[in-house]
Amino acid sequence: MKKSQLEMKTKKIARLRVWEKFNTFPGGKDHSRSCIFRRFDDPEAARLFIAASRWTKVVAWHQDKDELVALYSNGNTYILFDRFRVEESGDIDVVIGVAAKSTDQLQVVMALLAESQNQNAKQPTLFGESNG
Amino acid sequence: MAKAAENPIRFALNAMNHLINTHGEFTFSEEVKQSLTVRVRLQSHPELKIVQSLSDLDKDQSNVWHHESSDSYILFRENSCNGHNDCYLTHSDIAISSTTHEGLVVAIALYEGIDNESLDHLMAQISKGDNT
Repeated sequence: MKKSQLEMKTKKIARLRVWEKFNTFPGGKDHSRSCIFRRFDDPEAARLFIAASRWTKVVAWHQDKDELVALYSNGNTYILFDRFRVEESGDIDVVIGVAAKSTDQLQVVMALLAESQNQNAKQPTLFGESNG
Repeated sequence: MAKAAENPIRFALNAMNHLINTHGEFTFSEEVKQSLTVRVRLQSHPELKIVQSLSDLDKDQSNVWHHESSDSYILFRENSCNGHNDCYLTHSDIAISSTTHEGLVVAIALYEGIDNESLDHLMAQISKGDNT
């Protein structure tokens, strides 16, 4: 990141910094790198699932009111959680990105994230029904 | 050097932003409404040491505090409109940067005035892994 950018207000560039860290994920020794972006029905459940995992740790974080960009890593993969306010509509949108050294590792993480959605769907609601 | 000499206020602000933006990967920013309350809280906290300070001709203030035990820097900036565009409000914002997620949580708690007992409870939750 350029020095002139680092002299800007944190609010303006913190999100860029976390994204830059995600984008510079080192990949494998043979330069292999796989990346995917998805929206989930319950992104917060996915984030809590990631955060609660003993294999992952949070490596970068920026919070501003209800906006949050967080980067998690388990060594082989980076998982980016980006909750942001859409400028045009003012709505909150959430995107989750995964970068891995191979497509296999990528698929493992995506399967875990999908599982977080399933777990949520199995939780009973007040009316005794699945909320999935 | 010539650029720095052109506008020393801008230079000082840039240096503060640079310090916050390069210190750690865990950041927090927010607009502050209770400006005086926050300033008094930060100034009077025994564990916070002021490391950079700027007061300009309009009496606008920007200060950076360091919190050693959490290794966090806190930048608090206050700007008064002084009737410009019929606005007499003081607009303030805060940016916090830390080298760890736990440190960031502690620094946010200091800024928000959370008492020690609640902070201990929060830290216990984090140490259990519930650092979401």
